[in-house]
Amino acid sequence: MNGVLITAPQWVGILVGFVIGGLAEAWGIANPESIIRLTRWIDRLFITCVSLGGAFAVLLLYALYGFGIDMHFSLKPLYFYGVGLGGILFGIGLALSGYFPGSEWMALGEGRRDALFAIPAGLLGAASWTALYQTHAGQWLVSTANVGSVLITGQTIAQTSPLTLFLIAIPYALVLFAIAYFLPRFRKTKHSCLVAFVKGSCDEDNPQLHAIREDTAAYLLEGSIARKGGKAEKFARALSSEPNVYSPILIMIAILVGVAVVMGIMLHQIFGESTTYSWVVAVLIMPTYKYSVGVLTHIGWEPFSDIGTFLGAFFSAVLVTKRFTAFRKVVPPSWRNRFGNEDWKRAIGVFVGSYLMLFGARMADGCASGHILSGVVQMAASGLYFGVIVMIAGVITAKIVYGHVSEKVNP
Amino acid sequence: MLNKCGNKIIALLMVVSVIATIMIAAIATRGATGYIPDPYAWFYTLIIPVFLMLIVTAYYNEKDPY
Repeated sequence: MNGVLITAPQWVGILVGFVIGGLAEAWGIANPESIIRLTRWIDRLFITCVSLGGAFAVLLLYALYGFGIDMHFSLKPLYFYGVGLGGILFGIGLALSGYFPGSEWMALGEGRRDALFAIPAGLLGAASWTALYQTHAGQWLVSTANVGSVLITGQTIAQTSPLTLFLIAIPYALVLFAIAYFLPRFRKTKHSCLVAFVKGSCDEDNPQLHAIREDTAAYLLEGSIARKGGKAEKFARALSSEPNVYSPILIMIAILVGVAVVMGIMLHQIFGESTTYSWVVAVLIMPTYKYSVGVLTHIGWEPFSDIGTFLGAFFSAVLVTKRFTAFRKVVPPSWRNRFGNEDWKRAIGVFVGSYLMLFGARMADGCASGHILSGVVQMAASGLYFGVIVMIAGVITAKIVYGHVSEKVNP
Repeated sequence: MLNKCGNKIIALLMVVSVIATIMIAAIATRGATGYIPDPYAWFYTLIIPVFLMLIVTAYYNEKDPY
């Protein structure tokens, strides 16, 4: 398409990362317990927020494209075996560590002690994939059953007119809205939007939701700099109060995240977080490896947007949500109730989980940001395929690892 | 009173540091728009956030957690 193409300087990536990091921290994604609860299918906030943000973003993206603004699209290639195996490893690592590659930077911004183990492990995972990539096994994974960078229609963006893309985006966005609207956020809550839709009301003060609200706010603020009875506590409760994601705060955050992702695609590139690990490895220890050569020449502003993600979460945690923990000992309740409160056990769990997650992310050529968030927004087939496999692997792993142990802060 | 003053200083430091980090990135990258970032520019951009984290951690470590 020959429209208006904008290419912003690399440093603008810090601003995009800052906005997304700050908003995601407010969601609670920097807290590993949020992700562990997602894989335990207890709290599906992440799915509903990505669906909601994605629904707004996909319409905005393809509307702007239709109006003649060229985009820096970058659909990840869909190679079934590599993306599939990478997704399985990613899901296992996710359930163990409670981190995405991007949420590790956010957790560092929140002052979480276990993030100090997650990031070196992530670098080791990325280095392992860099070493494997140029072997026969690595090449087989990325080249076998590779259908290329295709949309959910099976065609590429270049093969599809902007008007057609927008027309496809409308029902696609409606499906995402429906997921966000009807998927109950919390497990075992009978009060979902579906019920509210049929009965015309949603009882926010029933004892079950009240207990969930108190527990969610408690784990979000555990070990933090917030004051008892302060604004941060009220904010955490407000974020935890809805059985579905239809509270004004959550809708606003989801829309802003979606807009920030679209701005990134319009200005320079898709939003990604895990390539930076491979880039650091390439710069410091493996510059001549085949995989490193590709990373060094194509990564774009991602190392800067990752600094922005860290800074945004840091800013939000200290000044807005007050969830900064100053690297105190805070073990996620699900992990604590299953394995105990010892630091070393948690460190091993995070290290192994983060290693597997980054190894899987690089094998699949993307993570929760590049594949799932940016993939959903671009209607990429690979993003949806990766996302489904990650969730299945994560839920199975969490079932095995955590079983039926309580997730409560005070079980 | 002293606590409130400290919190305000930290808040001001955060705002100034974020702006300074962005300015350092803009200067160090020289407004480059390409897809090959300069590792040295990235390193310079990291300096303020790292020191800011140390300062803020030291300050809040002295306070009682939630």
